[in-house]
Amino acid sequence: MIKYKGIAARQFFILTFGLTIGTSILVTPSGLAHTAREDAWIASLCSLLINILMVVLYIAIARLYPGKTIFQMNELVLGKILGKAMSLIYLFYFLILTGTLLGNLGFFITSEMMPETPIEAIQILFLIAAIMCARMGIIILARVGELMFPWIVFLFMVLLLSLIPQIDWNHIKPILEDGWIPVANAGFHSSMFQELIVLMVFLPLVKGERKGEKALLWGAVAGGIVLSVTVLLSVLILGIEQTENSTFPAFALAKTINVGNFFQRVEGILITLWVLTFFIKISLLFLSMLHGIKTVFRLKEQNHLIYPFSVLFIIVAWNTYINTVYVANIIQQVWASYAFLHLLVIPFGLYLIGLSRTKILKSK
Amino acid sequence: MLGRTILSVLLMTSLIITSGCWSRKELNELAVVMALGIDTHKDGYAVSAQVLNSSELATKSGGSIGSLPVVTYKSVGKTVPDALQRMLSMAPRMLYLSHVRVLVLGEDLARQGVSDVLDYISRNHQLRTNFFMLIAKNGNASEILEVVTPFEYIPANSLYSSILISEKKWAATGKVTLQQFVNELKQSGSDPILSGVQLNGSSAEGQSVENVKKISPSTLLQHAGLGVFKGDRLVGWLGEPPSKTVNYVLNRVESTAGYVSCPSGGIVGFTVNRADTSLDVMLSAENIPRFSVKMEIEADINSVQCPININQPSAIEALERSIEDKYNENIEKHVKDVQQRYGADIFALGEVLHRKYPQVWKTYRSHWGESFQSMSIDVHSHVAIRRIGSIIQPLNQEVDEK
Repeated sequence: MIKYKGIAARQFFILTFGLTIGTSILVTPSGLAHTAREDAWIASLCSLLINILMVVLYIAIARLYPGKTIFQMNELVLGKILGKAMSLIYLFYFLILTGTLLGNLGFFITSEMMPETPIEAIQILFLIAAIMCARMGIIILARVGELMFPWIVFLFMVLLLSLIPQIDWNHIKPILEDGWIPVANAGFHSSMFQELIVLMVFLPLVKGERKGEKALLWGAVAGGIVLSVTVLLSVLILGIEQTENSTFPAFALAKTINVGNFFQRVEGILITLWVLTFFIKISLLFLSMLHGIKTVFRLKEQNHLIYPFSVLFIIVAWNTYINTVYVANIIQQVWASYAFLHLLVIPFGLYLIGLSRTKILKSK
Repeated sequence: MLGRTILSVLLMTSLIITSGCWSRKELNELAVVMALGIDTHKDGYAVSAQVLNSSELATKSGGSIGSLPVVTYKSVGKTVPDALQRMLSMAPRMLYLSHVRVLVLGEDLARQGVSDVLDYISRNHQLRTNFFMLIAKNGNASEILEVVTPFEYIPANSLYSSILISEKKWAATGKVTLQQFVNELKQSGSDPILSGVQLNGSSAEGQSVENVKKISPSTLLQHAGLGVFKGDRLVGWLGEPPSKTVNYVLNRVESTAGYVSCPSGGIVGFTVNRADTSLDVMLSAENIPRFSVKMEIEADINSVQCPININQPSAIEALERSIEDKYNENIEKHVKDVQQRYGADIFALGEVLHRKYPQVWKTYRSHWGESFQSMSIDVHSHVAIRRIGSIIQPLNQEVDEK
């Protein structure tokens, strides 16, 4: 077997795309419709814009320390002890994220598709796939992503095209009824669910000068567009009230597909779309955490940690995702500010400190 | 290497033979519910479910014991799922709700409010949102589900397709899905409507297969106009012409028929082939909204029951004008009637205002129910007669004395 080192830019694009869509496609339309009402789709575009800003910030940091992962940068910027502490804070954030992701998946499948299957069975099965992926490493994941990508695009196109006949444009009028404030608010809120910072772990692995940065940017844009289209479709077809009141609006949307009384009840197939992106997201998180632990504790080998970690994930999943209402409440009230800290505030601080440090170094 | 190959072959074979589903439900363990009926009861809800008798349906000859293709189970419970569970004391199989085509609500229930029932229907993951909803006019939903129907083996399917066809060709019924209903209910500028269905004949006779053995079945299901809701409560019924008006205003008319009187007595009948309605709102100087309904109608003449000379362009034009007048007058009258009698905005005019003037809407939002009653609505219709059928002059024309 030939060992390839590094990921191709195209593969990195796909990983970014998958991470962006991940859970967001299922959960965000409801929150957006709640705050931005008829303008949920504009809010979703706002969130895309915020994501682009974040990506630009990440790229700027990456350029200060080329070839370093976020965990290495922490240590370079903040010094050894503080940097390690910061890395641990990020690792904790990733851990909670992985846990809620697993919980979300479990609740989604058990409440919409297989109510009699124990939620644990679904989560463990899914985790086994993630474990395999973690053992194989990022390069294999990148290739798997490449294999999945055409399917994701195909299924999304099926969803999009088969829903066009049901569109009712009246659902999105009036535009900007309450001005930009709720729209921006909702957009900001939803942009906190596309944890693109995870990719800072893998950015240095991308082959080719600056190609990874481009892939990161375009991946975020493509993912953001898919999210916006989903939000737009949810509102256009379900209306605001039902988008807001659905636990999983995107799934409710897939349920309404009916082309000529013939092409219908296909949500069971379209669910693949979400499961595939879920898989990319969870595997990326898994790998980034392994990498982080390895950096922080200077381990030689990371694979021994896979099993303890997966047990930890399951435990976190069972304890964070207590019930749908509890999680919805956390998402509405706590999560955005918590994620904001990790996605924007800390990276921005890192950037400023890093910038002044390199400037000082240069002037010496 | 050989070990690996053997292992992978083994794994692949086990993939084929050990696959399965945790919560699998085979068809022969399911009772597929085709229609649900819900009525009020002193102990909660009386639920009736029309269940497919699949063995009877599959075996046309032999094996059949001559029972009906469906069975209607009835039970009572504090909540709808409670009643459905209790049904299992009679039904030998698990009720499967994914294929419900029609949901019938009893009139009493509709008058008390349907939100509580619809909560269960929307919350249940098995039920989809694309079935049609009906109200059992002057009766109970259970009676509707107990009638054996001609043409269709399964009465629920008969109800389903008759809604489709009557909506398309008659335009005095409404095919309202749960999704539509909930949207109209939840929007502050609109009230929902539901189509009514009633028994034409006696309930007792309709229950047996003897009903369809006659050339003229003694009991039939009949669609009966639209029910007007104010919020989630049924407040009244519209007759056939007002029901058509509602569909015209909501732009749901595909084709229908009508008539208009001739200047010299008698009538001319026409078919509407296309009807396109747009609702608009203007603000007066004092920010009082004024609604307008614009209709574009294409009609064909289908019967002439008066001696007019139809061979003249002016005659067609005169007919067009008189049809327009009739539309303007009738629709205005019916809308006013709904406004004054029910105060329920089933035309979704509030949403029209909301879409066009969101700021003005804010001042009306909280008391739209009362404001709606005093809104003025103008109707402008434009009728174009396209075809006059296979003959030109009416057969009823006086013979010219040459």
